[in-house]
Parts: sequence; structure tokens; C-alpha cells
Amino acid sequence: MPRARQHSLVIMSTSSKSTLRSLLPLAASALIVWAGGILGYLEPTDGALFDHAMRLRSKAKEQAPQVLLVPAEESVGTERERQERLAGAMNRLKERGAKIIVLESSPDWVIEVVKADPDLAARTILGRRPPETEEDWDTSRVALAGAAREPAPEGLRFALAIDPLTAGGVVRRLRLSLPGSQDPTLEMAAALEWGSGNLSNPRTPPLIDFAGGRGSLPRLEIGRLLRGDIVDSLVAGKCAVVGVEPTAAASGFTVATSIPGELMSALELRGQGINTLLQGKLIREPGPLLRLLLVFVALAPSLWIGRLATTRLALHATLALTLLTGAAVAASLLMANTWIPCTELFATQALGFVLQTRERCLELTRSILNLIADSASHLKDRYWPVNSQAGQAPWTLVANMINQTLDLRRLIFVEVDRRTGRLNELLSLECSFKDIAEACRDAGHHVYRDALEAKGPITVKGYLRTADKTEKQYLIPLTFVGELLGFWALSIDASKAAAIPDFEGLLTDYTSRVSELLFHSRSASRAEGDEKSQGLFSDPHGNLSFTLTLLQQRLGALDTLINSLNSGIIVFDIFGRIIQINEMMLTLLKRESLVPFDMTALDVIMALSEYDISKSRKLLRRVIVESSQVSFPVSFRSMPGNRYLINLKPLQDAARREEKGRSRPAGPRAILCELVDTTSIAVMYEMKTKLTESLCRQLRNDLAPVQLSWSLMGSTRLGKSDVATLMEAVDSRIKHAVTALSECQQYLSLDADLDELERFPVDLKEPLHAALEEVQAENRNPLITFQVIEPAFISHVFAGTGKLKEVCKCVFKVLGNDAAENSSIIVRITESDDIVACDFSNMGFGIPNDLLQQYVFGQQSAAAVEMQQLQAAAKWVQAWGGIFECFSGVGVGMHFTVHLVKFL
Amino acid sequence: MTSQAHDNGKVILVVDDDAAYRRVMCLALKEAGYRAVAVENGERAMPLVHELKPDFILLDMLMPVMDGMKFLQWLKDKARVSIPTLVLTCLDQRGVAVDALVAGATEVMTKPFQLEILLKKLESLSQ
Repeated sequence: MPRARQHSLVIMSTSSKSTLRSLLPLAASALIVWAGGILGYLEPTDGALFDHAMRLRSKAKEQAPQVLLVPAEESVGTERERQERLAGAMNRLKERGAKIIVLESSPDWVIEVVKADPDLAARTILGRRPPETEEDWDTSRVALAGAAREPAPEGLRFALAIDPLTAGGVVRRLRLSLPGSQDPTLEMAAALEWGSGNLSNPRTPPLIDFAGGRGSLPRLEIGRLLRGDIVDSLVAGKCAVVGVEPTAAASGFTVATSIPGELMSALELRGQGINTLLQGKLIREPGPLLRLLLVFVALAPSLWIGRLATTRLALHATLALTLLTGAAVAASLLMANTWIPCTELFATQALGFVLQTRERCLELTRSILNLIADSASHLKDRYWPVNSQAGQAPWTLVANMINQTLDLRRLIFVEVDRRTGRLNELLSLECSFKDIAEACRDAGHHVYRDALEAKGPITVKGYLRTADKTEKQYLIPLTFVGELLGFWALSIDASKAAAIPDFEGLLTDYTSRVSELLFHSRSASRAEGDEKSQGLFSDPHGNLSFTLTLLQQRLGALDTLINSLNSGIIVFDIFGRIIQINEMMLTLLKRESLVPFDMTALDVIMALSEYDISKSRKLLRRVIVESSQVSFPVSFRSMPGNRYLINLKPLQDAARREEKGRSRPAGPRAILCELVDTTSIAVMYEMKTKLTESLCRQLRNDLAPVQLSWSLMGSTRLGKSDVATLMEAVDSRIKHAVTALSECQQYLSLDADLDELERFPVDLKEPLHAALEEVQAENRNPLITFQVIEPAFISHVFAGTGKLKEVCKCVFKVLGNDAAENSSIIVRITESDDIVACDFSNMGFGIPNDLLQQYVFGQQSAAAVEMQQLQAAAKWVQAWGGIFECFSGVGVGMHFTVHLVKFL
Repeated sequence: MTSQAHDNGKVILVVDDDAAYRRVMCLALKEAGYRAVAVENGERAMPLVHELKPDFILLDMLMPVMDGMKFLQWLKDKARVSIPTLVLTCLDQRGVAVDALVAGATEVMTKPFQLEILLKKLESLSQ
């Protein structure tokens, strides 16, 4: 089988397993909920929901009821009068065309009245209560006996007048018969008499349609009936239900449509039941199998919901689904007169969400654990150089290095066995494991506990037996990532320890490095020995701790590395936002009053380069789109003398860079903006350029007489002395040119750092004018002026590259401090064969010349900083091979001359 | 020199700090029939301008004491004489040439140069 196909099969198999794994609990939960619903465990909630739905339904417009309620009189006249009035009422009902007359109770006198009138008997159903037993009706274990079972007198119809069925104190259902009996209830008998279709006795009592709620059925008082104060349509064709209706507000039943505190009388309840049957509005309910099907239908969307991206979204989807289900149930009740027990649907959906969320959490946990394990493994590989892992080899090197650096007398590393806590020797120098005075060799010994509590070096006495009294002994715990790995004991001459500044701090630094090394070494050994059981990193918490520690260390090391770079660094993502910036860059940008975190890559480029937006975009595009490196010079207003170079580099993943079959270079992950200080390189380049120009001038000067001589050589009119003159000129010029070339070459090929150039051919005018500009900018006395008298061109002189400016500046400051108001400081540059002289003079107050000589060339130290600097300036000039002269006269002023050796 | 070229009667003042160059240049000019007088800087040339009334001046730019540029300024502003002045300099810079021409130089040539070209220029200036 091809590999790709195998791979897809593996994925399909994994996917199927995953789906099955999530499907089975859902199906099981649906079955459990369904079973609970069938067994009635969800009845209370379902009943409450039904009541709510019925209350909503009762507000809807209903068709005219078929039932007329005729409450019997209980407090009118005597018993005899009441009987006569009821009998009269029954006759009136008959006369007015009532289709059925239902009597809730049938005392003997009523039976006699009905029996006496066959027409009345034909439309009258007499209710009789079955004798109550000790058993509860609701338990459906009624022993039906008595009147209802007695054979009915000829022409009379009896039916069971039984109390309504309550669930949780609420009447919702209608009994059509008693369990185990074929005798109909009054409601059933009325419906049969009415001819309301096929009324098979359902397994569970049907739900009553309380359409219109309490008071929705018409009532007719007996008195009004007897008076005839009615229209025929009120009675004609109706089913009149006659019964006692207590006047007490507390008597009655709570029904599905009842609001709190509202009760429905038994008479009205019976009327509602009969009306439900007569109008054929019996509320249907799905059977068990249909309910199971509905449960699964309701559950199906949960499978889709489980695949949604977030738990929050899944929750919202589940709530929406539940609302939709509720709406469907309500619609079914309103439109199809069918009540779907929705609690089981809601419960199934809720359980589906919970199970899917749980599965999602488990999946997430599995992913995190895998991620942690992978990270730990990858980090291990990246963090530990292969050659630095297990083995004793590095320890000798480490011990020797420490010993050489700190000049220790004795040193021993011991490691702690993880299981037993016993100590074992790792390495020792000038001592051995046996020299340890503590005999237990146990990490729990108090001397080790003290070191552990101190978390650093502690001084100990007599730990190493062989150490003498002049030695100072230290014991240091070796811990890493919170794990005790071992101890380091050492001794050093007390005087040497005292001579090393912060000796204990140095020990602490070494300790952390040694601990890390030991940890890695031991981890590598453990990983090797534990490969069969998934290696060292099988414990997620350990893995996480390990990963975080290594990451923190690596990040800390990277931060230190980045911040210690001499170059300014900013790393942008490909959208131009700053990911990382080092301290050097931050400082440079702050000096320019730039806030990098408010800037994009484009802003930074524009601010530093002063390119327009179009050119800056072009540069950025080259980096991002073409993955090429771009460099351009920049300068900072705050540091005009410094030169910088910006390197914009695309940073790419090594893996992506090496991807085969790419038509173009892989796009960068980030952009590195590197600011390199090229001041010294630029200055060096500039100096070399000027030196080259100077050499060119010299060569041109030398070649001019040579060429003239060559032109004259052919002349026959030249005498010997003329030829000799020409030859001498040629000889001297060529020698001079060769000397100039060789002298320049050593400076032009110089690769030394600029700071190291203590003596270099420089143009005196540049540092002189730079110093003058700075002094004039600082000049606190505007009445003093400066005048420079100089030739247009002067030869280069030997001087320190940066120090010549300092010399000039220092002299300017001394003269400026001494100068009288409205006077000038004059600088005159003159050039002779070998020397370029720079004279500085003022007209000022002056000091005794001896004193000045003492300040500049003697041991006497002046109070003024500038005077102190003169001493250094004189030494520098002498070091360049020049001469520094000074003169001062009281009331005259000061005069300084710097003689510098000419180059070429 | 055993024999001299025909003396054309023109006097040229050579101002250059390089002694060897001065000697060779004087020899070359004499060979071409000119009378050449050479001095080492502008300051030394100043009195000779009035004394010799040279027909041409060959002037170097880089000289100690008084350089070529200052001499040109003096010639223009102070001496108030109009002598064709050829600047022969080792400074191969456009700016220097422009400055020299502005200061009153007639021609600017960069060292080293071919003698024939110099002589042709002198000849053309003579005419």
C-alpha cells in the first residue's frame, strides 16, 4: 500500500476512534435520560413546563365550550326545597334542549326523579363515587366496589365520579376509568354519550386541555334557570354538569393553568375534563419509542456543537438549540395539540454539552501534556550540547579551571544519590572523599542542612581533615531547578580569600554554573537509562517545571546577550510591530526623543534615515517580499560626530528556508533592524582617504620635476652640469616618492582600532576647528573673539586621532579663561620643512610664567581642571614626537605653541 | 649648458617651494628661450613682480609662508598688475581650480604635466 494511503487510513482510523469515543457517552446519556422520562422521574419538571405552556395557551382565543356548569344550591331554603329546585332545574335543562345532563352525585331522590321521567333519564348520567379504601387513589390500586358496580336500574346510566388525578399537587390529567376496571368515569361516560369518536383507554391518563383557564366555562344559576331568564342557545345542545360547588375560596384544585393561590372547583375541573373530551381536544403525547427518537433528534446537533471552536461558542449554540427545542415544543402544543415531554430533550442537550465539553477538556489536556512532553524533549536536545552530556570528562576541566582561577588549596565535588540521600564523590583535587570528617556521608547531616538553609557558601571548620589552620573551608550546596544535586567543598588560604574581592559572590556564581552542569549530566544519564519508559519526561508536572526553568534560563541568557550587544537591535514582526528591542537601541532612540513602542518598522526607518515614505516602503518591501538584506547609513542629531549603519535583515525559519520546491524565497518570520556604530570605521576610512589624497599630492609634486627632466633629457643643448642637475632632481624626487609611498603604506594598511591609533597622520585644521566650534558654543564670555590665521593647505602631522582636538580645546579654554574682555584669541598655523606649528595666544591677565611651567611640566597640580588637562596635553604632544611650549606674562596673557612633526 | 636657445625676451617668474622643481623648471624655460627667475614662496615673489615685471608667472599653490592663493589675491588686490599667471599645482581638485581662476589665475594645470603643453600655453598667451 502506498505510504500516503497508509497515512490517510491511519488518520481516518484515529478520527473514527475519536468520533466513536465521543459518540458512545452521548448515546448512553440519551438512553438514561429517556428511561428516566419514561419512568416518571422527570415528571415534576416536565409538569411545571407543561403548566407554563398551558398558561400561555390559555391566553389564546378558544372555540366556544360545549359544557355548561350548573352549581347546585347548598344554602337556599330547606333540604326539601333544594331538592325540588334541583329537580325543577333538571327538567328545565331537558326542556331547553340540554344534550347531556351530568350529575356529580346521585342520591336516591335524584334517582327517583330521573327514573320517573324517561326522557330525562335518557340524557342524564348519574355520578356515583366508589367507596374509598385505605389505599390512595393515586396509587391506582383502588378496589372498585359498591354503587358503581351495582347493576344500573333500567333506563339509568351511572358512571364513576372520582377525584381528579394530581401530580405534585397539580391536576393535569384526566381519568377515563379506574385501573383494572371497565367502568367509565363521568367524563368518559359523557364523551361516549356525546359520541366523541373513538375513545380508547390510553395507558397513561390523558392531559386536560384547560383552554381559557379558570372561569372559561359558562355557569348557570339554578334560580335563573328556574326563572327562565335565559336564552335557549345557552343550554341547547350542551352538556350540563350539575354538582356542588363550595363557596369557600380555599376549596378546589390547583390545575395546570392556575396562577399561585388560584384554585379550580371540582365542578369546574370536571367540566374542563368533559369539555376537553367533547371538543376532541385531548392533548396527545408521543409514545415511548417516538420519545426515544425525539431524544436522539434533539441530541444530534450536539455532535456538531462539539466541533465548534470554543466552549463559549458551544455553550451559546447549546442555549440556542434549547430555545429552539422549547419553541418547537410550544408550537407542537399550540398547533398540533401535542405535548412533547421536553425535560428529557433539554436534559439530553445539556448532558450533550457537558460531555462534549468534558471531551474537549480531556482532548486539551492530552494536547497540553503532549506539548509539554515534546517541549521538554526538544528543549533537552537544544539546551544540552551533545558533547557536554553525561560523563566525567568535563569535571576535570571544571575543577582545574576553578582551581586555577581561585587558587584553591583543596576541592571536592560530591553528588547526592536521589534514592538513598547518600553522598558519592564526583571529583577531588588535593584531597579525597576519605578526608571528609563527617562520617555519615548523608545529605541529612546537620552540616549539609546548614548549607542548604543558607542556600549558598557557608564557612565550615574541620570538614576536610587534611586542611591546615591557615586554610578557610567552605561548603556549598549544588541545587538546580529546586533539586539538590550535591555539595562542593573547598579550602583556600585565608589571606588569598581575603584578597579576592567578593570571594563568596564569585563562589556563588561558580556554584550555579556547576549545578547546572551537574543537573544536565545527571538528566542525560537518567534519560539514557529510562528510554523504555518514555524517558525522563513522563511526569507532566516535572516536564512543565523543567521546560519552564530551561525556557526562563534560555530567555534570560538571550536577554542578557541581546542587551549586551554593542549594536542596537529591534526585531519587528512582518506587520511592522516591535517584538524585541535591546537597551542599546532604546537608549539611542530615547536620545533622539523617539518612542519606539509607538512606532512601526516604517516609522523607525523614516525617523532614522530621513528617507521619504516611498523610499522607506521600498526598502521594507525588499526585506519582506524579496527576503534580501538592506543597509543604509544613518546619523543622529544628538550625536553628530557618530556614524551608524542600519542593517535590515529578514529573519527566516531554518526549516522553511530549506524547504524544497519553493518558487521564491520563504517569507521572513520577522525583520531584524540592526544599528551598527561605524564611527570608528568611518573615521578611519576618512583619515585614510585624506592620507591617500596627501600621498597623491606628494607623488604629483615628486613626479613633476621627473617628467620635466625626462622632457629635457633629449635636448642636445644641455651641458654636463645641466644633465647632472636633472639627474640629481630625478634621483632626489624618486627617493622622496619611494619614501612617501612606504611611509603611507604602513598607515593605509593599518587595521588597528581607532582608539589604539596614538600616532597617525592627521590634518591639523580639522581637530582645531572642531575644538574651536565646541569652545565657541560653550563660550560664556561673548566679548572674547577667536581668530585663526592659517594657510589654505597644510601638510598632515603626526598626532593622536582623537586627542589632538582635546589638546586644542584645552588650550582654548585656558586662554579663554585668562583673556581680557574685548580681546581676541589668535591662532596662527605655520608650516616649515619638517614642522607644522600652531600658535595660540591671547591678551589677558596671565600668571607668572614659572607657575605656568610648573603646572604644565612640573609636579604642581592646578586647581582648575583646564590647567590639569594642559599637563596631559603636553605629554600627548611629546608622545607624538612634537613639542609643547607655553609662556605666560602677568598683564600680558598666555602663549602656547604646539609643534607637530610633518608627515611627508 | 653649452648652448642656449634663441632668447625670446620674455621673463617668467617661477614661484614654488620645491627647489629641485625650480631648478628643472628654470632649465626647461631657458631651453625654450625664456628668461626664468625662481623664488620659493609668494612673499619672496612679491618684490620681484615690480622689479622684473615678468611676462608670466608660474605659481605653485602649496607653499609655506605665503601660499599661491594668497599671492594671487595680493596680485589682484594689492599689486594691481595684470600678469598672466599659470597655476601649476599638485591639487587635483575642481574647487581649487575654480578658486584660483576666480582669484585671477589665467590657467590651472595639474602636476605632473607635459612640458610641451606648458610651452604651447605660454606661446599662445604671448600671442
